[in-house]
Amino acid sequence: MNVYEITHSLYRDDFNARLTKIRSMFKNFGMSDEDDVNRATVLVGELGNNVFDHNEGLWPVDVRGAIIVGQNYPKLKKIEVAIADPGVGFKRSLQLRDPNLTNIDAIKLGLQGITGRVGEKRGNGLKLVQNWTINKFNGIVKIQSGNGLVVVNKDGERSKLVNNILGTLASFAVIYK
Amino acid sequence: MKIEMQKFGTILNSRPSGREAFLRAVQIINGSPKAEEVILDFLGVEVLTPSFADEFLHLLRDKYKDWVIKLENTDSATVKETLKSIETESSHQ
Repeated sequence: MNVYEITHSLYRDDFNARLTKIRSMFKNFGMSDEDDVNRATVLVGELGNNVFDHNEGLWPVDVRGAIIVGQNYPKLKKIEVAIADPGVGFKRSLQLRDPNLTNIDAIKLGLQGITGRVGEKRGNGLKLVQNWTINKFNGIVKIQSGNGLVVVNKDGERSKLVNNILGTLASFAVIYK
Repeated sequence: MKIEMQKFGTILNSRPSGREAFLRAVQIINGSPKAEEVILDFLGVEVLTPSFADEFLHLLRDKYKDWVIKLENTDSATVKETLKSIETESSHQ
């Protein structure tokens, strides 16, 4: 198993700049198809964008930003990338739409393209992450936020209650050629 | 009037970057002879995220409602698939 250096992007510009290195990471792990490398970079880009789109001005503790780690399983030809943030999480982000949502409800809404940025035409990112991970890579998306965990793959969506965390831990695993 | 998108970067990501690129594009368009047609050339763009594309294209289409906006060299996978996904979402709104 290879583990890529863990990166902590405090600010959006830092994250954007690191996408070039993230793109190289996929190549160095052995993903040879250029289109797949670019698609996988989009997945990281969108998950990282969400961290800053939904938390700027709202960080609940004095730690901020996106923590990213990539792992490669060469024998399985599988790469898993996790993006974590100590932010407000899905539930608080979507409370403007519905104050009674559970963490699991909120994650499921996010995966359907419902955004907490009420009044703005946006929210496609997570839908696309789900769509490409499953349909282009036969992969899996896992999102944990608060005490909710939702897992999506080609067989459908599963959810369960887990130990509570601050913010969100979003990850995807892709199978490469 | 052709705008070379790769001049904004080969990895085009995030809404704020899309908005900045749009503001620059407006400057370029306003400084050119009026043609009422804009060609966005994606040659050399490796990574295009929906966040950037959605912000850039919607702002541009809102600003130049009566203009023809053409997309060129959209063959790379993420450019083609991202543009398709945001066009699909737009048609559902």
